[in-house]
Amino acid sequence: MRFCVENQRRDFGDIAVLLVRKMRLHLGPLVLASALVLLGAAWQFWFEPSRDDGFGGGVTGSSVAGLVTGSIAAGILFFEMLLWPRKRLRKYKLGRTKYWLAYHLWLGLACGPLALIHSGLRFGGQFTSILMWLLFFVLASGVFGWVMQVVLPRWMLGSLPQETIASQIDDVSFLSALENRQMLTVVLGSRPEQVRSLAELQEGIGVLKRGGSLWEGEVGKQIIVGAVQRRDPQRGSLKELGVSESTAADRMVIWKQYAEVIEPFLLRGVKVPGVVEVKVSPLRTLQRSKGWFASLREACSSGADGVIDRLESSVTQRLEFDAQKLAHAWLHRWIAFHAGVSVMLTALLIVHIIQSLRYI
Amino acid sequence: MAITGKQRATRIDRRYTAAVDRSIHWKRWFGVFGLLAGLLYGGWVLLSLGAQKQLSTGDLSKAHFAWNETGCDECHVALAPIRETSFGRTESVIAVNNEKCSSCHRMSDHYAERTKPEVLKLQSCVQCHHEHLGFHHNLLDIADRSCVGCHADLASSLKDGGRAVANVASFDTHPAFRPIEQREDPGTISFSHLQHMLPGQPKKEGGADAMTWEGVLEWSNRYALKRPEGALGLIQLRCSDCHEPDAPLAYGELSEELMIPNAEKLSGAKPNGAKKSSSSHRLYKGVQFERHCEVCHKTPVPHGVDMPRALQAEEARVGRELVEGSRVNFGATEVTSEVLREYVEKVQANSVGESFSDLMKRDIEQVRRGMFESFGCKKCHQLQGWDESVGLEEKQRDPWYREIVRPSGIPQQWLADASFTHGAHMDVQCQVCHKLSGDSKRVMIEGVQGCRECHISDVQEREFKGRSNDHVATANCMDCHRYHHSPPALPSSSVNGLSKLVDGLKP
Repeated sequence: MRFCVENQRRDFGDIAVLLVRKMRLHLGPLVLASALVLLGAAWQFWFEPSRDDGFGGGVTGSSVAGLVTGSIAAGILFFEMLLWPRKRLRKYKLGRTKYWLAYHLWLGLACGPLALIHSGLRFGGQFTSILMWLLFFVLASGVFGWVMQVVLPRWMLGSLPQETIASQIDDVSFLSALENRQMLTVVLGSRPEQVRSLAELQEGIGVLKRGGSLWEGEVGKQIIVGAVQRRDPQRGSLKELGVSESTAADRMVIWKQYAEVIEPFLLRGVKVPGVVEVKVSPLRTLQRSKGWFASLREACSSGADGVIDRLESSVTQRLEFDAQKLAHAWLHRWIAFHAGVSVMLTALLIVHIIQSLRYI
Repeated sequence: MAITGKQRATRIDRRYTAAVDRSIHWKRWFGVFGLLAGLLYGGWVLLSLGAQKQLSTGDLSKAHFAWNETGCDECHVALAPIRETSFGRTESVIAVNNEKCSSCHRMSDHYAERTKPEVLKLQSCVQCHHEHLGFHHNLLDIADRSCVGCHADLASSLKDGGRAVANVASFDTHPAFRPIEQREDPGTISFSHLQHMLPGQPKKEGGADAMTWEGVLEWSNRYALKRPEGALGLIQLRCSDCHEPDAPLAYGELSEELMIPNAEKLSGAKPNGAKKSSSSHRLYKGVQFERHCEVCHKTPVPHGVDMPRALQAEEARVGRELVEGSRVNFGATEVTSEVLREYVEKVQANSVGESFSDLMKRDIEQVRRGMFESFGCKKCHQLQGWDESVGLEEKQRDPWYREIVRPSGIPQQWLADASFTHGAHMDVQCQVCHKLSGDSKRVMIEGVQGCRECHISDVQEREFKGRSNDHVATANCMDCHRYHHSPPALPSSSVNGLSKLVDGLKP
């Protein structure tokens, strides 16, 4: 989140432009939702005969207007829930997703005011109060998710150039660690005895526990991947890295720091429990990592700068991945709450309808 | 070192779509949890009687509090909206709901003889009596709006739409009290309150006929008036010497002698200890001659002789004398009808005049007048006179016809359509509402304007006046009126208990 403040400012401007562009998409549902709310309020509060005598009178959900607005709100809620089966049945092409979402958004927002109009601005008993609060939680989580899904992708596009598929972050990081080991072996020579192997490291920190990983069975093996493989990585990398000469001391220092600090960070990100002495990696922020690499450069000869630059680049990538992970969580975790409360609300709404008809 | 898109692509597991994201897991689990929680809670509310309190919008009042736990069906009927503002409130739905209340509360309709049936059918119990407002809510707290809904335009609700009626939108537009403002006192007793409240009760202030404590010959426990210890000089009566409450005063309520000395002023501080009444005292008992008057006004004959019963007793006495006379005169051991007839003929042949009972039965005006004037009845009473056009048969059907004096006719409750209670006004002195008068035909009760001195319907005005008048109170319809009310059949009651006799003589 600390990347590119300037870009962030520019993003908000872009969002405004985007919103204007999307007005055509949102205009229909927006007008429909507003009309429902305004007409419902006018009917319930101005045209419905009221007997508010200070003893619980006044318009309620059982008035004609209250019943109609309540039915509309319930209908909207059931429509909102259709988004779920619609996703399951997308092969039947039941309308374009953007239209579903636009109506989901605006009609869902109208649901809250319509429910309040329906109830005459009262929460009623315990059951209806719970129902109302659930609705507000659903609305609040939905609005939160809407804001997140508008703001974060724009921010990520500008601030996280190395963004990858979220579920592949650990795999890509693992690859990066492998490549770095490969590079260090070629440039500095094989790892010293006292530096543990990748397999030992993996065993220690228990990385890559996710099922289905392409790399799960290949940890510790000598593998050559991707572009590096195609471009003859040993010679190509050396030339590209501009490594002239490295000393034996550099070899010890870089391998040691790589195995103890850099590689754990690449594999697990900011938190590296149990691997290094400190609970939190010294590379956990961009600023700290820059300082840390500056120290490393001072500790090594100038001939090792190319290697250190490459390692720093990998760390920067991992930092972006961590930021992406966080953004990804903000982007998607709310849906669990939103969906769970929505399902509960729908179940209780059916009970409310049954009981209201019995005990109006 | 920058990395190209293609390079990045080679680092991606192509089966990544098969990988299940953690947020999807969470979504599923939350969805399942939400569904289960909703079904469990909803099912409990639907199926458990004890859980129906969850649906209640508030606790029931004290009268129905036990039903908080026993379910909604005690009052609610399925698919019959009960609220006044609910949809689908047809006459039949209202009747179904009212029937639920009527199963326990048998209440009369509101002036059923005068109100259109279609209007009455639309009146529901819950329209006025609001429930679910908590344990302490008084179901008799009824907003003016419930009454004004019809009374602001009463003609539209009356069977006789052309009848002149006064529309009432608030206490400010309340019409004058007809029984006390537009009519004379129907009582037949000549009595001057003004005279009796003077020291010594002289005919004229300072008159020589004033009574003194020491001038009273006999004191009895049955008299309400008690001679204070060591009292000498002119007797000063108090209202409570004749007017006794129909229920004991509550602790802390003021008896008359403790009230504020300057009764003419409404404003000013309440006397120490004065507070709102909590007693059941509503009215004052009727004045009784033997308890309240006789201490000063002795009569040569027992007061309140029940003439019909006296005559019956006289007839029985005469009958017994005749039977005894026939036995003695004819020496008969058994008095047969022949023997009795023979003796009666003999007695009638020897008699020189008519018996008292015969004279009364013949309704001889002179006899009545003679008794009325000689026994001192006329000091307070009026002679029971007859219109000449009324025939004897008709007179004999009437139980009063043999009485010498007319019934007192003093109403115990003057405002028959209201439920005025003195108990609530104990911190106001009597003369505030009852101005003394020497004219017994004038009703000594202040009219509606007098009530408006303290009873103010407008909230702001009430608050304003409350700063200078401690007695300011609300002016709600239900402060005086009751919806479930039937006007009394008999307009008055007698002080000597004759009304009971009338009831007993009714066929």
